[in-house]
Amino acid sequence: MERSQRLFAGTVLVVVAVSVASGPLVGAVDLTRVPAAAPPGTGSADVSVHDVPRTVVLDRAAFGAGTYHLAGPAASVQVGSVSGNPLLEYVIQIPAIGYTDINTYELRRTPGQRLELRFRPVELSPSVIDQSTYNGTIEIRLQSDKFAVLHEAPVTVEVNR
Amino acid sequence: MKADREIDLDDAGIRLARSVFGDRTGVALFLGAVLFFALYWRIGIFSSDTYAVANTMANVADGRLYVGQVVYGPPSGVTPGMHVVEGRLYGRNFGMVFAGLPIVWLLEGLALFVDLRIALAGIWSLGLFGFLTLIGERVDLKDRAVIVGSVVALGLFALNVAVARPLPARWYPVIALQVVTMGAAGLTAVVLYRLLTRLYGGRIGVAAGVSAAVASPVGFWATFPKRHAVTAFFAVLTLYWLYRSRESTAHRTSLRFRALAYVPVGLTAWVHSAEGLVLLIALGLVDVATARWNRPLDIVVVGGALFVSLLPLFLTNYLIAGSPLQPPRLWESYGEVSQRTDGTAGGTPATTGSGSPSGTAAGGTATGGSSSSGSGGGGAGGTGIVGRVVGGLIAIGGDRVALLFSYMETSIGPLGNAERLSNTFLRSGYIQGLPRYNDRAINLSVLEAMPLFAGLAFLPAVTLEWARGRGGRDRVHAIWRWITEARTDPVRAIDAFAVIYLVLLVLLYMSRLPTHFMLTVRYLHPIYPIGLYFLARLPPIRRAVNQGGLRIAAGYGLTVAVGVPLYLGALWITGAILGEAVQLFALCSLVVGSIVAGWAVIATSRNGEGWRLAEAGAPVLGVAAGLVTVYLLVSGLGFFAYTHEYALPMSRVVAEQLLPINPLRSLF
Repeated sequence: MERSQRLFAGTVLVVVAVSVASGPLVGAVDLTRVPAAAPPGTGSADVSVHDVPRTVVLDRAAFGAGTYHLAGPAASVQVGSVSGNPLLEYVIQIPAIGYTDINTYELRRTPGQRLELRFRPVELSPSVIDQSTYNGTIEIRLQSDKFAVLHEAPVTVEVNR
Repeated sequence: MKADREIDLDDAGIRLARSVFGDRTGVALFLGAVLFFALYWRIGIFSSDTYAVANTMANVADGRLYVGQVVYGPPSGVTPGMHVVEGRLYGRNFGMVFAGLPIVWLLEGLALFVDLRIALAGIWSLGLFGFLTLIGERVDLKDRAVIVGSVVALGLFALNVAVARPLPARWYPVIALQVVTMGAAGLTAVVLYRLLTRLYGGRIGVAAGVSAAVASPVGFWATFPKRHAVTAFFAVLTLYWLYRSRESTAHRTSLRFRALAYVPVGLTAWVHSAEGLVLLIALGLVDVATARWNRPLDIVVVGGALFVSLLPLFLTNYLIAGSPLQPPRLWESYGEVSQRTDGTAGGTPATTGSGSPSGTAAGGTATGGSSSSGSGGGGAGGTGIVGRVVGGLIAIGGDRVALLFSYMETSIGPLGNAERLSNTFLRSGYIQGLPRYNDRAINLSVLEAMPLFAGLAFLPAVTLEWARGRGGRDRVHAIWRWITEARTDPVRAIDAFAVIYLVLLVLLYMSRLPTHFMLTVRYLHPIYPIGLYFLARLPPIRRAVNQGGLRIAAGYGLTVAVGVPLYLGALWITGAILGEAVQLFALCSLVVGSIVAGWAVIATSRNGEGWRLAEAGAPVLGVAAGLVTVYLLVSGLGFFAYTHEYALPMSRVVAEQLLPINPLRSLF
């Protein structure tokens, strides 16, 4: 056999061997393990709320995209010790336009860190936004073995046209 | 004896490969295209009207035409494109589904022996090895290419294995559909390559094929389990076969290709019957008008090919609806039925794709004109006399054509609406009048989606130039001569076919455009590969590619190398939301498009100075092509990354790293 043919055969052989060895028939190795995680929303966490904005803005999208999305200062919380897979939810509700957004953070990734909470930039139709300010509420909730509302306060939403 | 047979088998394989790909370059083009698509291959549904197709695929793989078990989407099965016939649920796009059937079987069979995730990564690596070897061969560096190829292939395979996660078996039907669409997109590039190689030589052929894969929305829709990649492929295939039939002066060869040209018609109709009808009308008009021979026997052969190609559609329709000419989109929509019978309507489907709750708006209109359609069904109940059956078929067929035309009529108004035309073809931006929760500016216009299109600005320029020197009567005569020449010139014939096909396609869809979740005006998808054909028809473009191919390639490479980090950086710094991410690209695309247009006009001007300037500016064609590659990669791995299910494990890792620029952070 020529060298190039040998190389080709060898490469094919390696690929086939690895595929079969990890397949159900041989099962010599499991190459596709998922890192195990506790079910989301369980366990426990110490979280203290630092800063929550009193005013946020609805910004008009740039580049001619035209829609509105929530922006403005982030809230910040200090995460202490974490066990299991608790979730922190940053929630804003604007009843006048029937809008609720929940951004979820997995705290097991950030024990002992200061965490900045932001809204998801969900896009709102300009046909929905007809006032210059809206009243809303911001909540910070902890989904762990028990459910807790860490913060709940009104917020003013200013429209940036 | 045995050895002989083996040689035969080998020969047959080579002959098959040659008939599909043409030559080694065609194989390399196909491999390269599919390997590229796989980089951003997301396994998933993405739009609410794909649930019906995916569920159909899963159920057909289980051996039933109806959707007895809803595998994807809302358990009620109430999704756009789902139909009810005699109390059973049926999806649509059966042509794609049956093409995917052997692939599901193959995947299920393979999964008995191998870990499919690992095997997919392995197949990709081996494909890469083959691709690099073929490229090496072309530049006379085969030995080195083989070494490099095996190292790169094994290295990337190891990398993929290292970060692999399991591949749930529930995705196999979706994977099969995506293999079909990627194959169709790859073959679209190959067919363009073969057609234009015949017309203008290998360089132009390669440029057109590569552009289709990496510089046009063909690459965008390659991995979506929707019809567009497939119907565009069939349109281009008809274009190719029609050319072959006109090119040949031998009656037999000509007739063979002429008959072949009708095969994609039936297959298109099996996927989307209205698009099949559009293809048939365009082909039929041009074919009969420009054929060298129209003897009765020729017509019988051609009609026979068309009939055979339609049989799968007829059979599916007959088995489900009891009438061969009652295609899925004329069946009763499940959403409407359930809304009528119980007011609750089963809730809104969770659309992973558009991220919006109400995806039904588009689905309903497809069946808009169906009220008049029921009439034909019963009439065909012949007594077994062939004539009567054929007569019945023709009668219902006429009904369907009438339905199509009545539908196209509704497009006339919108075609006179400058704003809608401009939104669809030139500049997207925020579009007034889209459904309130589906109005994100994520839909590129035709020009924004493929800035190379601007090269067609050459056409008005050259027409003006041409008209300036002539009087009115002269012009009429010249135009008439140009048209009559289509009868003898094979290229004119396929030009005519392509123009008529695109006009009919625009007529078919314009009444609904612009609309939401088009992304690249997907309804008009065949316009992109056919647009590349027209670009290659333009002398200045060919001249630029033939004389400055290397500099165009350099412009392309540089744009991709600089563009990807630049685009990512811009998204990161501005914290762009989805609409902004898309529109930022749209604006860049328009700027580059205008330069391409300017270039085309200058290149057209007759004096040599214009051309010298154009020669220097030719790399802008590469920039326009590279820009789209940047978009394909950044959207595929960055902001249209709605799923963590990337086929290639390394792509998933890249997408995870790009989460900071993914506006909705929705990798899960």
